[in-house]
Amino acid sequence: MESIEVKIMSKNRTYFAVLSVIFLFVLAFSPMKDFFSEWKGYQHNFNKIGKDLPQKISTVDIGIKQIWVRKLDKVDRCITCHSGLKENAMMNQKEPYNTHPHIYHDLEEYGCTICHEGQGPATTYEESTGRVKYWDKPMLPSEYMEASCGKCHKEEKVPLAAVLTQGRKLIEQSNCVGCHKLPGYEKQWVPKLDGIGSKVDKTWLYNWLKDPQKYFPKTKMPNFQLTDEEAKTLTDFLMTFKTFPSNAELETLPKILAEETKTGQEKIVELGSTKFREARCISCHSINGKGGYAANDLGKVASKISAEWLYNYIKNPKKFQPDVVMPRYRLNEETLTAIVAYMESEFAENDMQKIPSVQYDPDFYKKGMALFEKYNCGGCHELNILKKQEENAPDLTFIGNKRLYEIEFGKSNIEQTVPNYIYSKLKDPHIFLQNMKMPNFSFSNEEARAITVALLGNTDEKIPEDLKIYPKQVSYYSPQGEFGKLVNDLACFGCHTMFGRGRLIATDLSLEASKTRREWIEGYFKVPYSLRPILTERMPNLFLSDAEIKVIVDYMEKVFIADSIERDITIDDAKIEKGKGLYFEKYSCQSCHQIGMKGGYVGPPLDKTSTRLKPGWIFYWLKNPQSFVPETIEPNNDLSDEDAEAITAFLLSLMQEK
Amino acid sequence: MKLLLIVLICSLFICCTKKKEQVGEQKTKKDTTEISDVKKDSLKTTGTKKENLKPADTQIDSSFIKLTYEQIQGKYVFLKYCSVCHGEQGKGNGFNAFNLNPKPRNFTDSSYMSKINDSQLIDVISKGGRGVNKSQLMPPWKGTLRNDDIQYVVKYVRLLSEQKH
Repeated sequence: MESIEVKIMSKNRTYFAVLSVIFLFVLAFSPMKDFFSEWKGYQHNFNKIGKDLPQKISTVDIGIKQIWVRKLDKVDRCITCHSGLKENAMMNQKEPYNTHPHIYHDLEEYGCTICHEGQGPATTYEESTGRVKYWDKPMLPSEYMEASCGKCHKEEKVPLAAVLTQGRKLIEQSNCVGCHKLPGYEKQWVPKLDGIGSKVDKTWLYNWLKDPQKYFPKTKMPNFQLTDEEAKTLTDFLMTFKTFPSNAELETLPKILAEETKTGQEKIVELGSTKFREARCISCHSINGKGGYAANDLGKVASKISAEWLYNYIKNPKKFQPDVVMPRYRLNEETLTAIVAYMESEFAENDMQKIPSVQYDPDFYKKGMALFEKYNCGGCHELNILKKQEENAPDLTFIGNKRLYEIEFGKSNIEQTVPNYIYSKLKDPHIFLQNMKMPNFSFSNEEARAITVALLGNTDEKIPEDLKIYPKQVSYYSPQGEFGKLVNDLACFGCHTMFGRGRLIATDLSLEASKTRREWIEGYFKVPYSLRPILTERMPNLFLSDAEIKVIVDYMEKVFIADSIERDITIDDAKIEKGKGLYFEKYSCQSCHQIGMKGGYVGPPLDKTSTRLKPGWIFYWLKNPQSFVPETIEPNNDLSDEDAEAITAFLLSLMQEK
Repeated sequence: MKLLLIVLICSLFICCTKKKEQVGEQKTKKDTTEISDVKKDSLKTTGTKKENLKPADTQIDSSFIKLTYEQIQGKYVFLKYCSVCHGEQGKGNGFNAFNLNPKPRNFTDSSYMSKINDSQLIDVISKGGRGVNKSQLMPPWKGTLRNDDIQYVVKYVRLLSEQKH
């Protein structure tokens, strides 16, 4: 009995001994794996490279390093391998040893993954990229990096993030909010479709729906890639809407045009041509590509609308398109008729495709309505008969959160990442699935990339409120009285800003009476000569009456004025001499400004400064141009008060030297 | 009891040998000074076929050049402030160059650009031509641009001087 027991016991002991040794080896694997870890290799290499450099850099202790960003609740262990981020001496090394590019934010304060995404707590290369299972936010490619700026910075213009700024601007211009829900963007003005059946030519409308860019290459309307049949149905549907807003009626054309002899007609067209040029329609409208881009192209407009509509529209634009930014020119009947005659004869050529003749479809109205709703035309174009359309496209408020597994890539063979998805969709909306509703905007590569950057910044990542920066408040300044009526009638806000409201195509008028002399403004309304050669959009000649001009300038002198910009500057010969020296020798203003036909042609010529600008304004402008016009490229030379006064004195003296 | 023990030992060996392979791999890569390209490529795709996949940009735009963050910011500053005289590609043929004598610098002239170092470029941009004994037609920008902007512009100017023409 005992021997069997002893045998069994000794057998168990051997098993136990063998197993113990095996367990010892197994348990040793963890420390061994850690001993041979990847990051240790990189740290050793860093120290080796550092020793060979001519400059002294501190060696890095071997061990895991991390940045714990408490306010963002993130832990980033990137600096374990990337040891050289703050060492300027490592600028030309390969990754991961090189310096971080120069940026505004402090690395220790914000960590890494708030900008780069990826898996912060990882300690191997593969895991840190975040392209592993169960990690939702892989690293952003460097060309889309500015998307992370958009997480905190919600302003329109983000400093040191130029691509993000451009993307936001493009989203606003393209009116994405017409279909997609996107907070922070305003809907752009788009023509209403009421009365379109009484306005446009049917063939023109068919061609336009098929390809807007063919008629007007810079139009904001995208190409919906409609089939012939869809375009025809939609055309028929739209042409049924013949009532203008508020039941406005079209006046008949004056009889002059119909009754004149041939030579009489030629004279009218000539008069129209002269007045057309005087009115400077080309400041906002382009003609076959040349001119301003604030409004549409007029090169083929006679093929689009009838003469009757054109006459009525120029006579009073807001009657047919409420809220349009076209001003109401003060034209008498003769001039207006002449202009219409000129435009009808000059802008008529347009080779258009004929509408395909198909069998009459009695259901065209219903089908047209269905198409109108499918492509969400009502998202941009209002049509009073239809209810206000909801945005029926995907909500983009948190598109930055989109997970890879939620995206359908279809049969395309593009590398599957979220930024690539958005980019490819913007370039070609039909690339992943057929029969999509999103139209093609013909974005260039750079534009598509900028928009992707702007969209990727829309996440619901938890960021403390004190870190976020919000856009400026919208201004609701609305002038009243006689001046207010004129501003509305002449659509000044379409090109000028006043106290924060309006569009900045021309100048800001908030300080106009402190800036320019009264006589000059009055003269400018009569003859709006071009001040700056670089601009394409110029002030048109609105043919205002003297009384109207007086109303405007009186208001400006009372409201668009600031006492702090007034300054008395004594002008004496010594100052003028000093100013001349500073102008030509020290600051060489002649590189951009002309005096006496000599000099650069970037800013306005300064010959007649004393008739146009006021002394106090010139002084403060020279001291800090960007405080008046943030976008100006005039350099701020840090002038002292004496220098600025001297140059001002010199400029004011120029008129006298004849 | 015996069977259980044998199964346990075998399973332990299987697990351990796998771990051993990984450790062995990392050991051989410990002394590489660059991340192996093989590793990078295999990480580009997740769960899809690895051949025939290209990044979206090369598919649609074969001339895509990847600019660094500094070069992109510098590009926007350059186009806004500098291109009116120096031209959009830095060839010294901007809109205003016609009126200037001497003409603005042509940054694509590599024989000149290779003799100037970055800190000299920063100097001439900040202090203007007059500050470095060159033509005073070049204005000083240190009052208008931030230091960051000037550094980024220098990076972009270097990129322009390396462009092929």
